Amino acid sequence: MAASTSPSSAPVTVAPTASPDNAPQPLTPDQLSSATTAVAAGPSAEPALSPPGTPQAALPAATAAAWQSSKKVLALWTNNSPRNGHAWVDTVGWRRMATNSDSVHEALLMLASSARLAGSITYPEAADNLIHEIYLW
Amino acid sequence: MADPGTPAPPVELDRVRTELAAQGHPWVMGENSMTILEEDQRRHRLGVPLPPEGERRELESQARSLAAGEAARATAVSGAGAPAQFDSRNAGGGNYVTPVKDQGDCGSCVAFGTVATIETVAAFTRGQPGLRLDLSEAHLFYTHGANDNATCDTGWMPERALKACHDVGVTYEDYFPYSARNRSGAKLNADWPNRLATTPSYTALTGNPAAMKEQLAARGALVACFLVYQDFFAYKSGVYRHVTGALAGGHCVTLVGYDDSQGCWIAKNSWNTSWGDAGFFRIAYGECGIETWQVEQVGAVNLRSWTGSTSVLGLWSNDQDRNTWAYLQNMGWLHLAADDEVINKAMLAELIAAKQGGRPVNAFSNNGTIIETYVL
Repeated sequence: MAASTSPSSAPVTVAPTASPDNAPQPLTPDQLSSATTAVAAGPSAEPALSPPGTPQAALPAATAAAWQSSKKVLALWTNNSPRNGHAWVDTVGWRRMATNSDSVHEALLMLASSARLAGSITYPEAADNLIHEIYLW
Repeated sequence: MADPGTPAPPVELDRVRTELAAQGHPWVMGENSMTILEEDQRRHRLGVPLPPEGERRELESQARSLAAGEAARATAVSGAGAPAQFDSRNAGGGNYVTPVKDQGDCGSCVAFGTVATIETVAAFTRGQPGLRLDLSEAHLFYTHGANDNATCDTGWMPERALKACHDVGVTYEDYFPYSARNRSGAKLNADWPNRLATTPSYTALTGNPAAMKEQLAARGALVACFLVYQDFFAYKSGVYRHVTGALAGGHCVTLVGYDDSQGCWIAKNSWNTSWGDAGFFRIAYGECGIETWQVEQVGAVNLRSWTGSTSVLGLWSNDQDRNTWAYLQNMGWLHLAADDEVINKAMLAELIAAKQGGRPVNAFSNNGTIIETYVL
């Protein structure tokens, strides 16, 4: 099978119904619905949220960004294309890490990878379907 | 500081009792650790040099005038900058005020009022009631104060103390433990530059009670000076107003809140917990020059030190190069060193491992940036 530039398969428990191809699998209506959870804060240059169970810092002004809160990462995928790491987010599906630079991509993927082993992630949904910011709890 | 030219008669408890009764008991008095002292010992607890009599009258008059305006503002429709009540001891469920201390028989109240303010602002602005910062009044007073010609007998001024905190910084208590007149013979630890709090900004709010409230609610504490009359030594609880007794001297404390419904500031003193309301007191708006003598705000507090054993509770990154952060328990968010790519990723990898494994971390942070880590 030719190498792909997006995840071609996923664990059985999270496998998308569509066939593998060169783009992330489409979201189901349920997944789209779950992607509109509470608006908390927009992307920022520094973290604004506090870990669950700690005093919450003041939030920046709300934006139109929808946040996914405390989501499990159920799978990871990458291939031999540059900056092409993806994480399967519980109830959401595949999300690629931002590709601004190697540094950015690697840092975000390190956080997502850690969440595959323990903990959860909180991040804002973006129009380009990339993850541009991750809180690892 | 006591005024050597006008020795005040000692506190007369019976007279205070009588006056309070005559005025409807505006506050509660009681014998305490201050009233049992000899007068000269008591006045050694006051460490702000008094201004000339004319200036004293003016600042008290201004304070009363401001209080009248502030009372009107407080009863107006809300929407002004600050809430009607604030107390750093219970702000959003957190207590950001460090334990009450005892300056002993040394006019070092400026060091205590300043250090306590820095400790609370550091915790409050980080949203970390568990920070438990304990800074060295001895370093501030016996080193920086001495360099500015302040002694236990002359006292000092908060503006001068804050300049030292801004220009040099204050080390932690364990690097120079305080004792009155440094009778313990403690010496400043030579490593003090690596265990240091500095205040990058400070601002005078003297004569501006509205700004005082806004900044209290935004940063948690302020430094303030006021005139101490003899009846104040016998304060136990309630809202203090001068009812009787001569002027004893000038004093510096930390304001940690206010209450518009009671028309008062809430203050932390440095006369041990056996004085007043467990070491705290409430003083009416416009009383004894509390707003008009010298009020100082600390904008932020930078810390340079090892964190001690702590935990990684969260990690964060976004789509900017080397912009990775770790949330350490009781410390809040700290930026990971970003000197170069390898340094930043190495630190991130170690802190991820600490979080995954629930392993303790000891990190050296400098002004909000982690520059060295142990994962144990």
